Amino acid sequence: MPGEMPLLALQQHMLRALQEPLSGESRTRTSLVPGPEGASPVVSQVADLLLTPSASLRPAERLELYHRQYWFRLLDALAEDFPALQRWLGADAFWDLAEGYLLAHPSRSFTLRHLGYALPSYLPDHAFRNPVAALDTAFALGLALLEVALCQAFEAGERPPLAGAALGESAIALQPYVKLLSLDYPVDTFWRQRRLSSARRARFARAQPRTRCLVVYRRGSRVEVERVPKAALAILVALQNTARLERALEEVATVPGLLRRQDQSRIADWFSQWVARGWFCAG
Amino acid sequence: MSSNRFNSYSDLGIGIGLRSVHLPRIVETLPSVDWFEVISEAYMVEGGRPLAWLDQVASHYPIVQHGVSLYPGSAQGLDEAYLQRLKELTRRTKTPWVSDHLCWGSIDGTVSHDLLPLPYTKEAVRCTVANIRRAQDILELPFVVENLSSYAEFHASTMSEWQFLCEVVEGADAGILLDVNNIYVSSANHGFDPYLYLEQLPHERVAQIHVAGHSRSGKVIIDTHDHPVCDAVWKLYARAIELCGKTPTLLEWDADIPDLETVLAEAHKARRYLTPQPVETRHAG
Ligand SMILES: [Fe+2]
Repeated sequence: MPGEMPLLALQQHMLRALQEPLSGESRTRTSLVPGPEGASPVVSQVADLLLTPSASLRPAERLELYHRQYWFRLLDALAEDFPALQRWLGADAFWDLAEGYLLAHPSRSFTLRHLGYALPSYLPDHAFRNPVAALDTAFALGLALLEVALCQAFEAGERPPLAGAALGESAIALQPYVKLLSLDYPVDTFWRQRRLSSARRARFARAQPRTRCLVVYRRGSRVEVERVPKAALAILVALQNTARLERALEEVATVPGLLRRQDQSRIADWFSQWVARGWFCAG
Repeated sequence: MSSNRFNSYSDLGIGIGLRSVHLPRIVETLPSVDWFEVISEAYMVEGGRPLAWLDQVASHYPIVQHGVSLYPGSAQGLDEAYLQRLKELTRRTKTPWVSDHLCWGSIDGTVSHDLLPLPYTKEAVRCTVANIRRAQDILELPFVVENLSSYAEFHASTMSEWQFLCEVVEGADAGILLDVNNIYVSSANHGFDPYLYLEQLPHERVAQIHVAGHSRSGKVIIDTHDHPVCDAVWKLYARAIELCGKTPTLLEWDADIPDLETVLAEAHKARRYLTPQPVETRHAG
């Protein structure tokens, strides 16, 4: 009897129905109440099991209101965190990706801010409905990584910064708001383009893979993206891994061809800039 | 104001929800408003702009925390890590009470990010009471539950929404955040008398009131918080003030948010119900 269904089972049934992909007219964002053909068979079945009709709505129509709310809230949150990725893929392919992602990685956090954190790990395996979108996956992955780093840097903590003199003596860590990226495409240039002609987009699509080293960090309350030389990024990564200045520099020096002559003379400048920005804290 | 133990005997008057689009203007102009309500989850972060803004506003105004992810009706209990983070934020904001909704929203670790309605059953009362008691133990602050706008009713329900709300707050010894717009929306969607709802509540437990706008979408009213408050909701509000006394009141405007001045002007309309109106003097002859 539905009246005797335990609360836990009722909540499991309902959430499972909400997670069903939207179907029919519910897929187009509309302020109209759901019509009879709006709800999928699973949603209709669960609605009949759990809900009563109202004077004007059938159970499936009532549940469909929540169903739409669930999906559009999550899709909107992803679109807000990944504006450049959406520009790159176009609205349809972005929805296709976001829907597949949310089915594979429903939210596990109390906050929507973390909703897209696993998108870069999901993206390479996504089977795009439109095969053209699939061709652009490598560039899309770079954008997803950049936009996740931006979200993380925005809300990351800040610890007391170390002064330059302390760097050689103690274990060092990077501030939580400093994110290091090594990407294959000029996604940062694309990310800065708020408007994009199709000719310009095509130029990005033809870009050849070549390593771009980026640091995403917070300055005051603004999040910045900066390109850095390969050797500079390598030092920061080595510092993150070893927590010791001397060991990090040794590690980078042993990689053949990484530290070019002109880089060696710039290391002191890099460090003074990083210290001035407060990027180092106790490890 | 209706000062009681559920709002820490505070005498807060009229407030508005703190929304990021208004932050620069608020800090620059320090507008005349008694307090701000913040969505707790927006500030449960490690650092950055949200907390910097919050600290700035909190240095000028009282802040009250209103949450959307505690899910007191969850059949599997509360998320303890969430509660700890919520508590950390209460230390920062010095909120006099903490509110969230009479709903569930997460099961088996998956979070819906929606305020989902509960069946009005004895089992749901027991579960919600136990969860709220747990939240009160951890938070060490008065906990206040808000009635929802809802679009669904369950076969399983064995009591009315107001009976359910009463049993929960009395069982958990919690306060009520009375959302008069939500009563109006649900009464229209489910066909009950909103005044009967108001009259049946334990008025001494009402710690705070919400007013907001809604949208009509064909056969249903949706709680969109994207309009001014309609006359029918102001009438209901007036009745709530008669029954509960002057109560800290907050205007919610969360979508299609107009400029700060418009939101404040709408919120201050509540004054006419909170302050005694001058009696018109009649001159004979
Ligand atoms: Fe509310």
